[in-house]
Amino acid sequence: MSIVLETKNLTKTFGGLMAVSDVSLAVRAGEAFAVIGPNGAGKSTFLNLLSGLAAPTHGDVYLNGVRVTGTPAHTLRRAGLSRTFQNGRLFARLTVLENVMAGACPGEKQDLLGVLGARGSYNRWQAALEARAGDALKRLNLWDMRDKYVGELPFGVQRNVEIARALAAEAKVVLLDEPAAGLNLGERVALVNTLNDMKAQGLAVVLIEHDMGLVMSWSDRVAVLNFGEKIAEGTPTDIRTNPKVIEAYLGSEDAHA
Amino acid sequence: MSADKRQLIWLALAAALLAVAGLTLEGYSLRLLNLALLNVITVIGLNFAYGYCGIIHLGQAAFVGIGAYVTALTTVKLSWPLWASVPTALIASAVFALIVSVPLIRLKGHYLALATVGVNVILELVAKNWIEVTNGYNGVPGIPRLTDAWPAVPTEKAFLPIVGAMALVVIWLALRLRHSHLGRAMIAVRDDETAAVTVGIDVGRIKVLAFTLSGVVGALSGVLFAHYTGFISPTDFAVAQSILFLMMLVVGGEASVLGAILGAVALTFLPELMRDLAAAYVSAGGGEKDVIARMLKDGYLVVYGLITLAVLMALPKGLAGLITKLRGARS
Repeated sequence: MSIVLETKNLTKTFGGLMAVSDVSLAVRAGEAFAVIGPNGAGKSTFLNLLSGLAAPTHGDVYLNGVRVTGTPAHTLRRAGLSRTFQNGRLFARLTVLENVMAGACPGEKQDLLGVLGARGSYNRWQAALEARAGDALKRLNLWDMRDKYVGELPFGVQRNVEIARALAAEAKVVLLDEPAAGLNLGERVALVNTLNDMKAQGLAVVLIEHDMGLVMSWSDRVAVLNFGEKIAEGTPTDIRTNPKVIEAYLGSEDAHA
Repeated sequence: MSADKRQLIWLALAAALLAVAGLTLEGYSLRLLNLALLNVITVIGLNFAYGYCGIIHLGQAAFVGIGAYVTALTTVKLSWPLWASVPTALIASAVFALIVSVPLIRLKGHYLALATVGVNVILELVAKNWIEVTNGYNGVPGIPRLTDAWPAVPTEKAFLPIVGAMALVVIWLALRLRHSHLGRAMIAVRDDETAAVTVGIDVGRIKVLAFTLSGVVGALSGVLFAHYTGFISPTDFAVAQSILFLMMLVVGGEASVLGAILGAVALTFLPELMRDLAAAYVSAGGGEKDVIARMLKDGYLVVYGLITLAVLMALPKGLAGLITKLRGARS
């Protein structure tokens, strides 16, 4: 299948610190790609580089074969790349439906005159937007909560709203930053269903996750970062038996001596 | 019933209320009502920048001033007709807001707030010192009034339908904007700028839009003010005035059109209410020159400050939030 998202020699330094060092990888449509690594391995920085929130020091990012290095995040979203955040970042003063609608119209040009002039075409556009956001909410069983403010919702539900927001407009790649963190067992099962849904739809899903059970059972391929470097990439089975990975997670025998 | 229809019913009720007020009130009370409606327009404008988009804007009076001065000077000194001067004033304020917003929105928090104060101070200084053009402290007298067409009707009475209709139109447009993708984007920007960017919102563009809309709506209020009073001077548009507008929004409830309305009306009438209280106090046997009487007569700024503090501490969503809470408790 075609490569949707690719990095070449992606590097990010903060002063003397190599947060991400020379990472190259490729994610295909319909592929579940997990990025794992110990705390401080550079996973979140890597995701910020992919989503345009940070600019790499060296190297490039390609989206659908087009070089997008240095492209602002909002433009990347319009090109089909969306993401969620580790701690959940919703808009507290918007309702659930409005949160998803805010994410459902990237790049569509509607002007102020349409809004103020009460033009029929604007009203129809907005109704279509609402329907699109509503579909995303229904997929995640959030429809009944559409008029609530996000602050009134339990944490697990808030995370789902964020996923709905990421899915609401034609995304081709979805980057998920630790979506299972803080979820209870039932919510985890629902999350796996959602992830499988995305995959079945042909989305490329990049997942950063600490939950090894989820990573190993669900992903097609896994890349392992340690001190900013990619130390391994392969199927979950390859990764589980890779000595370098075991060393990175458990420490080398020398270190324990 | 749809939200749109409910809004129209409320607006119709407000129009009816204003009509009754116009028929029953006289003189000074009517003047206060007119000023309150002008403030409603100004504060709804401010709500775009501050309430929705989080730009701490302490320079709204400057934009009211640009509107007032451009239309006043073009009509008085160049004898332009209103159909030319009013659009020119609105366009001038939009252009000015666009130009200053580009560097301003690169700043954050307190720095941004200080920069907006700077804009206001600079324009105030220009109005006071560019005497050949602005007449300086003497202000601009003899501005044609919108009410000149009905010389038989007292100015206050004739102006109420004009400002009332404009206020209702502005309210309706503001509500429409709030529930559009642009309103959602403005609120998203204030709630979480990073998240806003990652859902595809061009944060810079939205901030410029919010700031410019604030300026233009403020200028509209200024235009109406100039052609209502017939006289303007630099002190009408001082930084203190900007702070007052921000207080109105905070007391009424930021990020809410209803809040902007409530705050503007409440704080416009408050000094008058206090003066009435002072008179009642004196007639009840209080000394005319003692602390309480003087406080009630002239201490309204102190009371504004106390009210703002109380609202910030006890009612972070202002009067509008209180109403929502009471309605929630009842149902």
